[in-house]
Amino acid sequence: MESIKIQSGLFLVTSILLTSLFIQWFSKISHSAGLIDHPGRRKIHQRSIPLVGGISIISAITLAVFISPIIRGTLQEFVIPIAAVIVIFAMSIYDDRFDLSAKLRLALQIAAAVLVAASGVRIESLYGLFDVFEIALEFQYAITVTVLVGSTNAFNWIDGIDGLAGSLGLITSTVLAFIALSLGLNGVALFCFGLCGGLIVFLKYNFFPAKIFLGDAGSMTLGFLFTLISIILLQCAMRTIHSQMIFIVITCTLMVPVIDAFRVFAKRYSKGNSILIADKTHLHHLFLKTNQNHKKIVVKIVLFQLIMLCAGIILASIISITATVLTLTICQVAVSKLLMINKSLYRWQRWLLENEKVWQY
Amino acid sequence: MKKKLAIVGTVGLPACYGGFETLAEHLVEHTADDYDITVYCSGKKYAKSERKATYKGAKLTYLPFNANGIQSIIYDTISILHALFKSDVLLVLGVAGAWLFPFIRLFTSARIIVSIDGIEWKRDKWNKLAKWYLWWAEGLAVKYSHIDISDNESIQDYTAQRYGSLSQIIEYGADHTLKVKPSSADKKKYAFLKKSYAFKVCRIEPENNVHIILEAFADMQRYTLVIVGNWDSSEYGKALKEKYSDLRNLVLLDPIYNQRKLDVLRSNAMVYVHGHSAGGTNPSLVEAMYLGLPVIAFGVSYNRTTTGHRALYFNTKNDLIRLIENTSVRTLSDLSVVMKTVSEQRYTWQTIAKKYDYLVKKAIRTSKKEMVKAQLSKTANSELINHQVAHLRNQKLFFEN
Repeated sequence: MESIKIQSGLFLVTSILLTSLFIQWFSKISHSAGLIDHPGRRKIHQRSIPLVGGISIISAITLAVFISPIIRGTLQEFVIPIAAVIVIFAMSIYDDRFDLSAKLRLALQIAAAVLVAASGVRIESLYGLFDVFEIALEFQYAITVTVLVGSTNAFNWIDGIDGLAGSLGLITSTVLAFIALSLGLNGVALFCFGLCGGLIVFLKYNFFPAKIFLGDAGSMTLGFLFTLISIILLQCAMRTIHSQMIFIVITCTLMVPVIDAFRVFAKRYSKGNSILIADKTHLHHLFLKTNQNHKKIVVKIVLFQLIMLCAGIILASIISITATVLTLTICQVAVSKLLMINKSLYRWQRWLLENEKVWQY
Repeated sequence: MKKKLAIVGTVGLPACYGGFETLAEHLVEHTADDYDITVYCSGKKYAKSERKATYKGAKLTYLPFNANGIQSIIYDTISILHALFKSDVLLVLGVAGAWLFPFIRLFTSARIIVSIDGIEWKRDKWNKLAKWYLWWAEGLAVKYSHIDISDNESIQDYTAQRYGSLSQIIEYGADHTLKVKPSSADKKKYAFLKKSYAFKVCRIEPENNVHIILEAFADMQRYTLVIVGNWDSSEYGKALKEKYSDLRNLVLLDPIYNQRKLDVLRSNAMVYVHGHSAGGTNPSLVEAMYLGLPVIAFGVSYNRTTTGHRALYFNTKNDLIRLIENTSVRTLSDLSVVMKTVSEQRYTWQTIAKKYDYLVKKAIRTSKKEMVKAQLSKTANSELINHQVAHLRNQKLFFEN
C-alpha cells in the first residue's frame, strides 16, 4: 500500500514535469503546425490561441507510462481499448488542424466505441437503476456505445470557457483514481493520477485569460478516456458489495456535462433544429449571461459538480439509486431552466431599453 | 342572474394604498349593479375592527397574508383558488399567482382576465430570484389568460412582440383627485405654497430618477422643488436627503397619506416633474394631468404615450434645466389645458370602468384568446420550404420592428 502511494506521487510529479515541458515545446511549434484556434462567431476569446493542451497531456502520459511497470502491465490487458483511444486522439488532432465534418466525426467515435465494447469492456449491469441489474449482450453493446460516444462529446462541449473542462476533468480523474485504488486496480489509479498531474499543469496555462486551449485532441480524448476508465472500474466493481455506491459516484462525476448535453439536444430537437448544429445554450453559455467573469463561472460549475457528487452519495445511502439519479437530474435541469430564464430576461431587458427610446423625437 | 366577478391581487378595500386598490374601488363603484363582485383583501393591512363584510355593494373576503412582497404569491394563489369555486370571471391584478393559470385553463371553465401591471420583472427593486419568478409568471399570465390587459401602449407592443398576444389597453382613472385651494393653515405649514413651485410625488428609487431632478434643481436655486416620498426607506433616499436637505429651494417631504393634504400640495404646483422610467402608466402622472398641471416627464416611451406625446420631456439633467429655464408661463398654461383635455378623455374612472365591463362581458362570451401572431408562425419551417415560401418567415408584422 505504501509503495503505491509513493508510486502515485512519483507518477503525478513525473506527469507534471513532462506536461510542462511538452506545453512549452508544443506552444512553440503550434503556429507552424497550424494548431491554433482563431477567434470567430461562436468563440468567446478575442485572439488566436494554441490548441496544444490535450496533445501535451496525452504525450506526457504516454511517455510517463514507460517508466512504470505497473501501468505497462495494466495496459497490456487493454490493448484494443487503447487502440480505440489512439483512433479518437488521431481523429481529434486532425479535427483541430483541418476541421472534420460532424457526421464523419460521429462515425469514427461510434467505430471506436464499438471496438471497445467488442474487446469486452462493456457496461454489463445498470446496478439497480430502474430496478435493472444485469443486461442482455445486445443491450450491453448499445448502452456502452451510447455512453462512450455521448459522454465523450459532452466533455468536448463543456470545453467552452477557460478552465472549465480542465477543472471538471481534474475532479473526474481524481475521483476515478481513488475508486481504482479502492478496487485494487493500481495501474488504472496511477494512470488517473498521471492525468491529474497533466491537468493541473494545463489549468495553470488555461485559467482566465487562457494562454493555451485543450483542443478537441484534449477534450475528446480525455472524455473518451474518462468514460472508458469508468466502464472498466464499473466492471470491476460488479464483484464487490459497494458496486451501487461506485456506480452512483461515477454517474455523479460524469453527470454535469452529460445531462447538459442531453438538455441541449432536447431543446434543439423541440425547436425543430438539427441537434448537431452548434449554438450557445450550454451551461457555461447560460452562466455567461449572468455577467460574471470566467473564473467565477468555473468555480460555480465546479462547486455545482461537487455538490451533486456529495448529494448523490448522501441520497444514495438514504433512497434508491433510481430516485437519486432522477432527483439529481431534476435539480440540474431546474438550475439550467433558471439560467435560461435569466438569459431571455437579459435579452428582453435590452430590447426594452432600446424600444423605450425608439419613441423619442 | 348576475355573473360573479372576483377581483384578486389588491391590498383591499376601502382603498388607501396604491393604484390597483383605487382601481378596484372605482370598479366596484361603477359595476356593482351589474355583477356580483367579491374583492379579496389582505387581513394584514386591515385590523379586525376595520373589516367590513361588504363595501359599496361588493363582498369582501379577508386572507391572513400580505398582498405585497414574497407573500403575494401565497396571497394571490389562495385568493384565486377560493375565487375559482365562487366566480365566473377572475380579474387578477398582477402576475404573482399566475403559475396557477395553466391548471385553471385545463381543469375549469372560469375565465381569467389579467392585468400585468407594467413590466415588473424589469424593476430594480426586485432581487434576481424575484425577477426570474416575475419573468416566468408574466409569461404564464399572458399565455394562459383569456384576456390580458396592459396599462400602456408601449407595454402592448412588448406583449405583442414577446407573446404575440393582443393585449387590451386600460389605463387608470384620475378623477378622484381634487383641486384644493390652500387654507391659511396650509400656507402656514407649507410656506412654499405662497409662491410657485415644481412638484413631484414618488417612491424614492433610482428608477424614478430622483437624483437627476434634484441635481438639476440644485443648479437652479431660483426655482423651488417639492418632492414627497419615502426618503428614509432606502440608502439611496437617505443619501439624497443628506446631500440636498440643506438647499433652501429643495423641499423634501415625507410620504403623505392624507388625500386632501396631497391634493393641496400638488394641485397648486406650477409644474409637475415626472421622473419615472419603469414600465407602464403611472397613476401619479395621470393624476397630475387630471389636476391640469403642465407636465415635464422623463422621456421614456411609457410617459410619452401616457401624456399623448404632448408634454415636455427630458432625458438628462441639462434637458431639465433647459426646459425649466426656457419654457414661458404662457406655454406652461397651454400645456396645462392640453394635459387636462387628454386626461378627461382617457383617464376618468367611468371610462376605465366601462372598458373593464366590456372585457368582462367579452371574456364570458368567448373562450379563445385574441392573438396578433401571424398564422404562418404555426406552420413548420419544413412545410414552408417545401412550398418554396420560406422567405415569408422573414416578413415583419405591423407591431414588429
